[in-house]
This record gives sequence, C-alpha cells and structure tokens, in this order.
Amino acid sequence: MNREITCIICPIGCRATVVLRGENIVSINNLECPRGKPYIINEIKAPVRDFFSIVKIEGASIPVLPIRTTGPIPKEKMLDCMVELAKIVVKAPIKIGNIIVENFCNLGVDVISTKDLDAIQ
Amino acid sequence: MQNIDVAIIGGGAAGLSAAIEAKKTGAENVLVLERGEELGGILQQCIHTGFGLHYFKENLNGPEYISRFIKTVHELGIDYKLNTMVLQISPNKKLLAMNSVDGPLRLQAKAIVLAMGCREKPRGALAIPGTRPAGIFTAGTAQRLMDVEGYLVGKKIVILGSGDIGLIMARRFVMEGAKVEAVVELMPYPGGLHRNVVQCLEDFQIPLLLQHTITNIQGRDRLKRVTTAKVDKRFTPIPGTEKNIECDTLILSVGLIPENELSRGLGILIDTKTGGPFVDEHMETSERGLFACGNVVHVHDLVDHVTWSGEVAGKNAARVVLDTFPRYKERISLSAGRNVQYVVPQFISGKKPVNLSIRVKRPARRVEINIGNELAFHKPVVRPSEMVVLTLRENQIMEKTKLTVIVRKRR
Repeated sequence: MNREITCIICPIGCRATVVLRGENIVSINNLECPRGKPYIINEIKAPVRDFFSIVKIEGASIPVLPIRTTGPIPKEKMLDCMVELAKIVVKAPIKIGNIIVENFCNLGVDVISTKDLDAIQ
Repeated sequence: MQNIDVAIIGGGAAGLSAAIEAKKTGAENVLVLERGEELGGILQQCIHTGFGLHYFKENLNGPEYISRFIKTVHELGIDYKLNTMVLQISPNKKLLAMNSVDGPLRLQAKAIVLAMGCREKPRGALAIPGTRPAGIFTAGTAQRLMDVEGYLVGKKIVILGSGDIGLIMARRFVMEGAKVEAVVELMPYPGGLHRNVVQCLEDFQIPLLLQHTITNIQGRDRLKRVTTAKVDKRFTPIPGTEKNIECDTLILSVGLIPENELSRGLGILIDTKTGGPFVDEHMETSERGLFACGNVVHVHDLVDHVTWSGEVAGKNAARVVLDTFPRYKERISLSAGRNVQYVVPQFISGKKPVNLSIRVKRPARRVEINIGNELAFHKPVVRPSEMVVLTLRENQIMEKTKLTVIVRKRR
C-alpha cells in the first residue's frame, strides 16, 4: 500500500510517497532532503499534534478560557480529548500556566490555562 | 493639551513591542492608545499554537505570546489607555483621541508610532451574487465569536479563501463538532502557510477546491446553500461546472488590508503594493518622526516578524525624542520587479544591516532572488503565503540610488 504525506519540516513541502507492507515502511520516496525522514516515519507510526481549545469559565469577564496541553498528543485522540474537555468548567480567577487537568486522558500531558482572567463581581 | 514623548497608536503585537523598546531606549513618557477593551490586539483570539517559535524559541498560543509583552508594559510602567479611539493625527504630531472617561483628548507627541494592524476584506468587497441571509462571517469574526465569546457560529460550514485564519478556523470548527464541507480557493495554490494546509485540512480530510469560487448565495433568513464553480485562467467561472453545497454558514478568509485611515488623513505616502506606508530601515514613514510597524505596513504571516518591526520603530521613535536619530543623506529605493509583489522597507541606507521582507507573486522552485545586479540569494522554493526574509549586511551594496528586486528561475 502507498501513502502520500506532505512534509512540513521546511517550506519546500515535499509530497513523500511511502510504500507500506502492513505496518512496516518499505521505502520513503520523493523527499528532497534527509530532514524529512524522521518526520515522515513519525507520521506513519505515531503522529502527534498540538492540542488547544477553550473551556467554560465562570465568574470572568468572558465565558470561555483558552487552554492548551503542555505537549503534543496522539493525533487520533484529538476528538476524544475534545469530548473530555467539554465536561470541564473552571472558576475565575485563573492565571496563565495554572494546571486545569493533570495527566489529561492519561496522555502524560497537563491542560493549562493560557490567559489571566480576574474574578468579576 | 497633554505633552508626551512617544504616542503609540494600537496596543497589539506591533504597538506593545514598539512601546517597550521606546521606553528601554530612553523615552520617558510613552503612551499606548488602544481601541479595544484590553491590550493584545488580535492575538487574544488566536488560541492556536505556533506563536513565538522564532522570537522566544518556544511554542506558545496567541494569548500566551502577547501576555509576555503586556507583563513587560506593566513592569516598565508604560502608560496606556483602553477603549480609546484616535480620530485624527496631524503632521506636527498633534493627536485627537476619544474615550468615554476622558472625553476628547488632545495630545502633543514628539514622535508617533502607527501600529493599527489590518482588517479583513468583507463580503461587500467580493461582489458575490445572491441573497443576504444570516450566517456569513469573516474568519476573524467567527474566531472571536467562538474562541472569546463562546458561540459556535454554525454546523455545516463552507470557507471561501484559504488564508491562514480560514484554515485555522476550519480545524477549530471540526474540533468543536461542526462539519466543514469545503474550502474554496480562487488561485491554483493555497493562500495560507503550508503547515496549516496539512494540519488543518489534510488531517481532517477537508476538501480544498483550488481554482474555484462561489457564484451564488441562497437562503432567506439563514444561509441554505452556496454554489461553487471552477474558474478559468482569468478567474471567470466556467459555465457547467456549478455545484451546490448545502450549508448554514459561509466563512470569508479572502485577505487582509492594512488599516491606514489615520495614515491617509495624515497625508503620509502609501505604497499601493503593500497598502501600507512607505518606510525606511528605521520604519520611518514619509513624515519625519512618524513611524509605522507590523500589519499596518504590510500583512505579515508570523507575529515574530511583527514584534521585530515594532522594536525597530519604537527604538527609533525614542531616538527622535532623545535627538540621537541617525538620518542619512542618501538613500536607496528598492522596487518590486519580476515575480515580486512588494519589498519592505522600500528605502534603505545601505550602510547598516537590514532585513528585507519580500512577498512573491507566484510560487516557484529553485529560484534566485536578485537585488539589483549586485546580489543574488538562492532559495529552493518561494510561495506568496510565506514571506521571504533576506538579511543585507552593512556596505554590501555599492549602488547609490535605486535597486530592483526580482525572483527568477536559477539557471
């Protein structure tokens, strides 16, 4: 089976063709430099993405608080994580870097606040 | 009339870095005038990551990135006014501003930094036929509604234009449970950064229709469907290629325009290619002591570059106040030649190191960028969506008056 993956390591954006036998990579073709190879291998074996969104906040000047995880998470877990995140409500005041959920969905990363929001009366 | 050293118009990424640098350089009385209700500008609604990779060597989101500058503004005791609209600036550096606490404010500054940013092109600028139902938003408005105010703007969404904000919103819509039916792009290549095409569209199998446009909008109260069509080389819709897409929301991500209403009123010279003021390597405009930085000069793709341009403007505004501003007698004008949309700054002294920002017109591979006949830089690839930044060292240029920048295939 062949898979096409666009490398994002540099602006060239090589469209790599990966030949797969089952889960094993047979060859990676059409890359213009060696830097793309680790990225492509990762994209096949265990692709990860930055995770960021908003959660509900009570008692602040705005109804939602922007958050992110402290590191990337597996790509296929993103939508499940959104479902978990929808259950969370935090209360103002909150500071940048405050941990909202530790070890989010057992992925080894924390959900943190990315904005200071004061409590309003 | 209140006297100040440096007045900064706009408290976003460009304005705050200008204010900080002006203060650090020695201007005592720096005042930031911000129209919004908090400092930070557009970054407060950019909750995605990827900010600061160059400036801080860290991967931050928008609110985190700008919070660092807001913190420094407080630490340095820089004065600012929120909810304040600047109505008029005159060449002798008098400002008229207004807010609901002070009423009309008359200020006399020694130097001014313009940092008003840019605005989105609205539907009216596109002339798409059809009805005028609810459910049509610019990408930035949808971003603000969703990620600051907490509303999901629709459930079945079509995005016109593949600019970065549109791509980023496509991913956010999917993550929040909406369906993105398609991203429709007039050009034969995407308008946004390459990594955004991969991580926002390909990751979620969102179709990207290149060389397509929207030819009709239908719906009475709420948007019901849009009609897409393929376009020819002259961007004219090809009859017979029309397809209807059922949707309740249309997002417009079709370009940004530097916000230069104040600059025009002031009479400074505007470059029709960038939509912003002509500037030199100090970010000084055609009017002495008046500087400009960030997206008001030209639309940047990375905030890190906006911050750097703000620092240059702020530092030199402070030097005007301190009477240490270096003014060169001769200057070299840079103009855009083959496959170059624009070059910023448009004027350089050639005597100091300077970063040139070059926006190409069309994507090309294996190119040589020529600055006059003297300098050639090689690039494996150039794209309109990714600004090329070249560093010229001091005294690298012998030419005295005029240089043309061109991008051509390497032989």
